[in-house]
Amino acid sequence: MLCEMCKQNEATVFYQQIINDTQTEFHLCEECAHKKGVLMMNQISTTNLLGGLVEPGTITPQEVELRCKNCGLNYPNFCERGKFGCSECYQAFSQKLSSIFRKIHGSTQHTGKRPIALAVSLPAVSPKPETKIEQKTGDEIALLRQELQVAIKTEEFEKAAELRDRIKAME
Amino acid sequence: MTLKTFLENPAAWLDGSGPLSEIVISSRIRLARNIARLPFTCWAKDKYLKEVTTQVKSAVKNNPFLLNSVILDMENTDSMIRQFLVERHLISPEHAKGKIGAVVIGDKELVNIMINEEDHLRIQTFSSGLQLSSTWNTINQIDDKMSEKLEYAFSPEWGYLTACPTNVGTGMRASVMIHLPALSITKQIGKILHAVSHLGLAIRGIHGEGSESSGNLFQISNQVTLGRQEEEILDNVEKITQKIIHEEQAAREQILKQSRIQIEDQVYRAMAILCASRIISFQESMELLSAIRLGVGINMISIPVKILNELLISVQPAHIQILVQDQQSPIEKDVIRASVIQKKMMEGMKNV
Repeated sequence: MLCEMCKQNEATVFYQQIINDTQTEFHLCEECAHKKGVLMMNQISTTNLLGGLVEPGTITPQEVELRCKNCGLNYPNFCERGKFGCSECYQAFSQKLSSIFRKIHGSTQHTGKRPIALAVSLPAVSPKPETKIEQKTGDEIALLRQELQVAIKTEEFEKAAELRDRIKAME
Repeated sequence: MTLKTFLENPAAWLDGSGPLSEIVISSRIRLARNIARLPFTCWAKDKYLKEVTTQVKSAVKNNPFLLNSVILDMENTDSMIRQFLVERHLISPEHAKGKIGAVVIGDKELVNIMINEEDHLRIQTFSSGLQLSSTWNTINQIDDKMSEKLEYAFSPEWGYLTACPTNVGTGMRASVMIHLPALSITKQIGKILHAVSHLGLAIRGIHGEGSESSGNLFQISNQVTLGRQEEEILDNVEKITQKIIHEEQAAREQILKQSRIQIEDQVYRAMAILCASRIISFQESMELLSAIRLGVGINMISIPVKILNELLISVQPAHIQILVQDQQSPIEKDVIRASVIQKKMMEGMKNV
């Protein structure tokens, strides 16, 4: 389908506008969507999936040097496309990943299943040693999590959302 | 296996046998997996894409859950067939754009593996209605078997390593396809979408990322993949789905109390048009099928859910295109669609 504004490029952005119950739909290309101001928020763009999480503009010279030895991808390339190059990139960019994972998932430690071969050879996940202050925050988070479960069960979605945001901020 | 075989044998997860299948069409789980050290699909040169395809195909051969599966190479699959596979949920719209890769389709379309989608492997299992835990049991075993043959990219700290950081950890996306007409009619759907997004879940159209909803069908799935166990994530999706079902049922009671005659009118008109029309567009058929499914859900009419589910797949554009000769006008496609629907509806009413 072609863009409804320029009628030249492929339409990749579907935009629905509802004003006073009147619904209008547009199929636009990314360029026209930008012109129309629809793509002001990064989240719709498919080219930079990480959006505001990794801002290429703020990359330091040291970060430019970060490069995966296995596939050759460097950190700015990763930020631009929002995709790792191979499994070894995780190790190469490891110092930057905690903050990215925390923003996306609210966590930095895998707790799920493991491949069978590894499950036998690796020790079970043990929590990292925490300082006293972090310990206290940890307890508070546990309490908030309990409250969150109750809020979900009782269908208090707004309260649940608020609790979730608080937990996220503390982690 | 030819396309005709696919057309004549609808996927088993459409049979309406699962729990709450009037509201929940299906449960689906997918696992994103990659082979250690080989470049991820979006950066990989052809030789690596071929290497991945070969390795995965050979692992599939020894997997007891994938006996009798059909493998289609993307190189030999034209754009119409790719669209046909997207409509059956066997490949994703992203995979349909791929150059080198394949799709492994298991018996009755309950299991499939996309090779060289965004990740090297995207394993999926489907089941009818709301039953995530049994769907998980199946995919967990398939995944274990595959891991015996392939060296998965995995780190004890970050879990399964994926091309996109939004999938890292479990690499799992659990989703349910759900029909929410009463929440749409009462305009409460926006409120639900908002609340759900705050709980780490997403609601999308029926073909996943970037697709719009049609026929009041939505897909609810988890967003977070790191820091929670698979069972925990599944439990969360299932519980929130049950809450939404509860809201939908309450909205149905409300509209029946307030405007029963209007709802009856909509349902019976939908029946009449689907059984008797000669020309019908995709969009209109999705809307009418939604009204009929609502009618079945509130015991106003009786048509097997299986028939309605199968129609959701078979009225789609590529499914109709396959039945018509090339170069036909849109009107002729709409004529074919009307006859496909009519035949199925007659079958449905006979079975009642």
